[in-house]
Amino acid sequence: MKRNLLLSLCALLVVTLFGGMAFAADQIKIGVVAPITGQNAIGGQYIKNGVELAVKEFAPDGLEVGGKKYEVKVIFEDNENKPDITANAFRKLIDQNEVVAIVGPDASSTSLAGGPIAQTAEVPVVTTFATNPKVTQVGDYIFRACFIDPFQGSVMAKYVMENLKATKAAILYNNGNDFSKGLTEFFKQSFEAMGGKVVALEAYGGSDIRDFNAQLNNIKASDAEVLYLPNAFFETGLQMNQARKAGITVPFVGGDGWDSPDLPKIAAGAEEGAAFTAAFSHEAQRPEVQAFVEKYKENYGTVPNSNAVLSYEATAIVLKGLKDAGKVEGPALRDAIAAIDIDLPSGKIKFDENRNPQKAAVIMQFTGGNTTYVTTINP
Amino acid sequence: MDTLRKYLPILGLAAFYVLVMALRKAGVLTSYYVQILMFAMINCMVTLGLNLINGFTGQFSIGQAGFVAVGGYTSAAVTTLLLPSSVLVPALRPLVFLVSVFIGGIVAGIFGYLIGKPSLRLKGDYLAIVTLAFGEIIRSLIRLIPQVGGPRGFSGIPRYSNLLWIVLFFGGTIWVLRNYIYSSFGRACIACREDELAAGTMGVDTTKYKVMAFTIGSAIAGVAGGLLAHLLGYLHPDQFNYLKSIDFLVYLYAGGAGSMTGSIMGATLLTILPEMLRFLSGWRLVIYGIALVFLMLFRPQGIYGGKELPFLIPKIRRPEGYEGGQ
Repeated sequence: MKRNLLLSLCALLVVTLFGGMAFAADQIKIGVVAPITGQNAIGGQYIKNGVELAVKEFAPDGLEVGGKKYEVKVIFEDNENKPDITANAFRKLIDQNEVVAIVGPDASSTSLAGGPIAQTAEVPVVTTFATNPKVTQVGDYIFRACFIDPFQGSVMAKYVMENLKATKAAILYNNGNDFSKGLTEFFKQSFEAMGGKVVALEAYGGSDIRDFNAQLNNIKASDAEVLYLPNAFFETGLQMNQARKAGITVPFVGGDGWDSPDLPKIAAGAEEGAAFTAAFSHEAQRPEVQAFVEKYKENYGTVPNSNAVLSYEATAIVLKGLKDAGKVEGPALRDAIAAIDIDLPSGKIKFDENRNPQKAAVIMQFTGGNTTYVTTINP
Repeated sequence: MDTLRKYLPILGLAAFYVLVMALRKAGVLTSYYVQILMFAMINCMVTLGLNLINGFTGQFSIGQAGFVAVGGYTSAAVTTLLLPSSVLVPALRPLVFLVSVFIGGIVAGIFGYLIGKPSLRLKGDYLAIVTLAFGEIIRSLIRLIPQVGGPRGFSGIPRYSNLLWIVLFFGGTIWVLRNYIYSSFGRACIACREDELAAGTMGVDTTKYKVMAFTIGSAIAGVAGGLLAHLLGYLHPDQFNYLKSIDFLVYLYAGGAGSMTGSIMGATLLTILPEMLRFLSGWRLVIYGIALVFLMLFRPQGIYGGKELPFLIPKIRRPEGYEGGQ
């Protein structure tokens, strides 16, 4: 029995080692690295849909590059949302599948682990949701489809100041999460630069914390007029609920980590009126947005979230780049992406010298368990 | 014959290195496979270190990832912050790397000593609790140090690690552990595992040997961390959460506790398997889990539990005219 088990394991290894080596000519291969299993698997599903939709839209029956027709093949690889597995996925896509570009991953920590590999191999990467400024500083082959933390923090500061007319803010953030910490830093910076004051700055130590009463009591004791919660939707839901129970009545504001239909379920009504910055709103009255939402609904039966739209846009950028480049090769594609000028659902996209897109952000609000669009704030 | 047996592991590793490099050159192995092999060997080293603590000395540590983090961050701090590659002439870089990896190992060993000394005096599950807490404390501490990236992760680490370095350190680990386990120190550790009371009665200073094994195991994890940092070029505190420690425990018990061959088999197989199952996409980790369940059903003692490949056992030298038993 045990010999058979060992033998079959060995056979499996050999088969898989040499199995995936065949490749066809006249194909453009694009790799997608996303969490298909693990904590962020829901995000991975949206990413998959977004990428597929973009290929359907921009290369319905192949892509013509430099006068030649190519079949577009998308290869999805799971990264379990872990840096080391991402490094393996990048290597596999680059060495085994010889992809011309990579879309994803969706987190800064995984993008930073994969980035150097793609940079050395001269394979352009367009990450979807990696908001840490360091991600694109890895090298000139790394781009992103989303805006960066500083921008989101300062947009919210601007909104609080101008639309909510509040000058005293409290912040409750997760100091074990780079995203939360980054947003906090930049919100505080911009808010204070505009003459506001952060009257309570409370931290908690990781996304597994469930009880925020100690921090919330300190916030309650301050005279804050608004509470900034730049945290993931799951934690935010609990925080909102506990804050209202603790008697905090000021409005909540936050970042795009809130963008999930599950937040109202967890907050159980406490989220009413809370506003957050997002990359995209399916309600914004732009024809590009409405066309995209229609197509997405038609194909997948749900409304797209930020993950879906950003992966759609990242894929569109790669496909448009290939067309502009006129050749299927890394360096030419890189130059084409750097010079891209394309109109996409979340706005016109151009890259600055640090390969960050210049694009608008929207303010969204929870009303009656759903998110509604409030306004668009331009950079 | 004896000399052959003595040098067989070294020859084997050298042959392995030459073979991989030849296949790499011939284009059969791409750098993807080489990278998986490197990850596998690093995981082997951590598991071997854990095996010394859990398998041979019979203690239960569940914070091994914490020591990997200490070693990784320390050695990366040396090569990135203290002596960045930009201020070094290229010839000096391997030397700095070598020193940094050793410093990572030593610092992890010191942490191991400091953790082990108070908690290993006690019997029972205290070590498990303390090591679990240690792993989480380290992760939280790293997040608070902005110089090494804090919660954003430590990026820009020079990627010095390559197959040669990793094979050398891997071989060194096996050599150190083989000699330790089959020395009187190792025998004392095994005695602690089998019956601590009896070992103490026989004059074995159980606390001393437990702390020693724990320190060495932690130091090896630290060395592996240094190699990992310079292979990935990036470290993130959440990479070293308790789930990572559990991974190493799985490698250890799937391979077979108390067997060096087992640790190597377990870590290698279970590092390669998820990569080889990539063609299954979403089902990948499901099949991986099922494979583990079946392994434990049919071989509860692990693949190589209680056994050892002969060349990993040094020949026992007996005095002239010795006629006793084992």
